[in-house]
Amino acid sequence: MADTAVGLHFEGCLFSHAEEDALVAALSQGAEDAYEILIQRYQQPVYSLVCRLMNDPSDAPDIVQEVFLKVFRNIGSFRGNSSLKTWIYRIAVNEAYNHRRWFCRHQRQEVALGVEEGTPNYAGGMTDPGRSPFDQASDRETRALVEHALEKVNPKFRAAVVLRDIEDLSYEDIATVLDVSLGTVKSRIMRGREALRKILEGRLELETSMRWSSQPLTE
Amino acid sequence: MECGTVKERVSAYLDDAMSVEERRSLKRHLKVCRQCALESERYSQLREKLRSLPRLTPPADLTTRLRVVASKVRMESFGGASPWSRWRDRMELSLRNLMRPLALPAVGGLCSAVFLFSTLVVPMFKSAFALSASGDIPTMLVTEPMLKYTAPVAFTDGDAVVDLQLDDQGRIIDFTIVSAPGQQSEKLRHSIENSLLFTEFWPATTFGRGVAGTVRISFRSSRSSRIDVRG
Repeated sequence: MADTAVGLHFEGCLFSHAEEDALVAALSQGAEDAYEILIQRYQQPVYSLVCRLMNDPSDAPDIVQEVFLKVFRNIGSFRGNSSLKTWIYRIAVNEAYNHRRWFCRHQRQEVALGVEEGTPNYAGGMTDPGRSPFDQASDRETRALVEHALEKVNPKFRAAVVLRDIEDLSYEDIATVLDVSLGTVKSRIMRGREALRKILEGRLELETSMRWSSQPLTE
Repeated sequence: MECGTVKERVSAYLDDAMSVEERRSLKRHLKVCRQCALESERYSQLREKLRSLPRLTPPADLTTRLRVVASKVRMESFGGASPWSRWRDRMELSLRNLMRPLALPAVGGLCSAVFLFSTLVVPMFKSAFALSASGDIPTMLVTEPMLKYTAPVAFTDGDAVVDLQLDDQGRIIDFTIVSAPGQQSEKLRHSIENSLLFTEFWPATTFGRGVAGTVRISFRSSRSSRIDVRG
């Protein structure tokens, strides 16, 4: 029987290399608290990532479940060549791709009648209490616009943009997650942002023209 | 640096993913080209908008689902039980789940049966026994004709065996002398008729109703002067 008294205790949001090693070792031994820590730390990021990679976010919980199932089953094959987060994200991206492929094959002929349960609320999220209700409403509207624009971007480019701009992964980590070269990562991010900009053109109020000056850009 | 090249590389410039030399060159271009600077600013704003997107909150039941998955994987990988014992555990669980809903109805049914038996069936048997003891004819049975009473006179003319035909009221319709070891004299016949004249029977019954029947009686005179009746 697995030893459940490994005594894992991690502070903060990010794992240090040693903490990550300890967590992986505990998972490999089947420690119950290690599973719990993994779920608590990665449930939300993985869900958030999967939601933004999917065209239908109502499928996200099922995909997240599949992702964690694979993580739990294959934690023994994790060699530490990348960070645990990168490894989990790679599984999540692959699962989302697989699901989308399956979905395209079995294209559903359903018409949504309203917002389904489990659909993420793009209009929600954290609000700054110091801002006026008008600003907060405007923020929510902007976020919803950006989220919907993301859905329209080519999935490959979208994944790169999400991993870079929302998940804040480095180019090297994105290359590992997507299993492509650094050059491809750069290209996909650039194309993804360009597509987004075109979609949002005219919809978002970009105050650039008003604020632009010939002052040099800060480095 | 050309505007076209800047357009392609402005994304990497914002992420600081280019060489120092390239970055310096691009920066110089942005200082002098208003169009490219505007483009760069737009990308920068877009990136800020993307970064300001909140992390989405998973549904409340997702944690529970993931814990169930974790538990299953732990049992699969570290359960330590052999396939046979796992199969046995599964069977036990299935049987328990099958029997548990039946347990209460089964015990209730058994208790009800015992209660009904003790309150209804036993008194019924008692009453049946009492009925038979009191000489009443139980219903739902086939009974033979029975002697009600006979003549109080002695039969002295020798032994005889007689078959009697009775109607549904128990009245004698006809008789036949089956055997008379001495002699079938007129006197004997007369004596039998006299005895039968004062003899009455309970008729045979079927399901409580009187029916015609036959009864064989034997007259014995020598020793005890009695009448034996066999239906």
